[in-house]
Amino acid sequence: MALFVLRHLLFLGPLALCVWLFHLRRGDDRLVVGAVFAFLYGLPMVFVSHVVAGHLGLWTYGGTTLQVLGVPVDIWMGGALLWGPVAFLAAPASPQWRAPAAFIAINGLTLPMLTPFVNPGPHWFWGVVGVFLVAHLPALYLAQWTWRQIHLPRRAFLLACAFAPLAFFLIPTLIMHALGGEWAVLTERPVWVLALAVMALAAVATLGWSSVQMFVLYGEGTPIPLDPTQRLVTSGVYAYVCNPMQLSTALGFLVLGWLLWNPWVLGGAGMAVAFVLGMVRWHHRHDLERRFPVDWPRYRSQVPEWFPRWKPWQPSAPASDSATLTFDARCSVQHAAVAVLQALRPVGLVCEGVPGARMRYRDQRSFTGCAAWAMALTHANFVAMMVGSAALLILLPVRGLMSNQDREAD
Amino acid sequence: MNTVQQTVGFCISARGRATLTLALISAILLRTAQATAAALQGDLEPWVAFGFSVIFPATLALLLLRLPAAQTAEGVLMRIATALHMVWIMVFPPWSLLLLLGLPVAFLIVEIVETRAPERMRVWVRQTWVAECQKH
Repeated sequence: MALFVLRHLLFLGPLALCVWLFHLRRGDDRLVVGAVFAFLYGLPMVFVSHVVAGHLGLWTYGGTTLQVLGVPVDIWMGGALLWGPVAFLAAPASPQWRAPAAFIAINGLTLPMLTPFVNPGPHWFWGVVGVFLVAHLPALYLAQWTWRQIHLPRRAFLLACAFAPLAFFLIPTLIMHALGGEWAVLTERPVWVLALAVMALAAVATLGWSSVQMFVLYGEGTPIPLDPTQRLVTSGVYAYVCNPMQLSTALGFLVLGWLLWNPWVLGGAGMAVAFVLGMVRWHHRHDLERRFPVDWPRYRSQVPEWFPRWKPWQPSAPASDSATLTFDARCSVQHAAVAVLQALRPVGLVCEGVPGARMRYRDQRSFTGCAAWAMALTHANFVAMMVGSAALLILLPVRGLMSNQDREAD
Repeated sequence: MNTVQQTVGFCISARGRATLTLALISAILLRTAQATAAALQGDLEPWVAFGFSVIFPATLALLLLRLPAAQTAEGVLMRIATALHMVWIMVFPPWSLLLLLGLPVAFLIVEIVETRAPERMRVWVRQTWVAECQKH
């Protein structure tokens, strides 16, 4: 009976608070979107952090009802609601540093009292701190930044961080929980198979994360239609395929299905296709087609949904509007880099050698140095685009962090 | 003087709302009866899972029914499909996880009805489930 009351309290309490707070704040759309994003981030991250905590012996849960990998689903969902949308909607403008104190105090006081439902290990307190830092604090920041419409790259980064465990850990786990299979089979796979799978997943992740990066750089929005792009994005990976994120998800399921030797996980790719045919096409028809009545149909007629083009599609624009790569004609390294690029016959890119100039790529945006060359690579072909995109995924965040540090030092 | 701009939007028809509400209440009653029967035989597990497997999907379905007007009729059909999916999840507990994972199929069915189904069927679906309403 105590277990019944406890589990309902820990799940239905946050759910009721969440519904009530959404009702109270319904007039402010950005606030609501922020709260939804906090939940979207928290959902996979709370699950992953609790699974890790269980494996590290920080705590275990008693009972078997509604458990997935040893985590009670209702407690996981209740935690994602309480320390995501509920905490944010209750005090959206309050500094986020207040939340850790409340979280750690509440969990620190209650966790040891929940035995035998929760069996704390010797280092449970550090687990509580870790879960908060990984799963809840970023969710609260994401919500606040979304509400205030600031720090777009960080918001997109957090959403991308949450999507990876959602698609490639949580959903396969649920599929195997429902239909059979387990992650433990990975320990039986030969090292070369694991290495091959890691490389394939890295390529798949590059495809997905690069599309998020292009949305931020060229669309000034996130991939989630609740916080949409301001412009139609046709650069980078989007010049080759129009659903790179869904393609990346479907390919990820295929790789995982092969690695786990599980037909049901493999079939998850079918659900990604169903999602595109059902939801994404609807979104394209009712959002993109209305906001970009000329550009979207033109783009869509040239760029396929699933099978990428070998060469990028570039809108037929006057030569003056083409992307330009300026390089130092006297520098042998830059000269060689541009020679490699030109050998690949880039589309919609003009290369200009200017003595003494810094390497710079210009279209709607401007990139310098290695990032300029990486961006120029996206004009060559699909493989070169993947290489350039992988480089941009590392270079641009590193530069962003360094420029932030410089600003703080000033 | 303040003016309120009103445009035409789409919402669930009265008949559709009544049908969904009835389905929802029936599903809750069915699961309550099943949980009670199990409890009488000493199995409390269905009651422990009741909050997550019944109240949660029912709340989601209710929220979908109460959403403000949508911009398109297809948007309303998506909401109805999701609410109906929640009802299936409640009614068939052994397959609830499978049904949850198959949610994209509900959207796909709406898309097929809207873009591929014969005109007569599309009109019937819209007349039965969708109504025009004022959007503030």
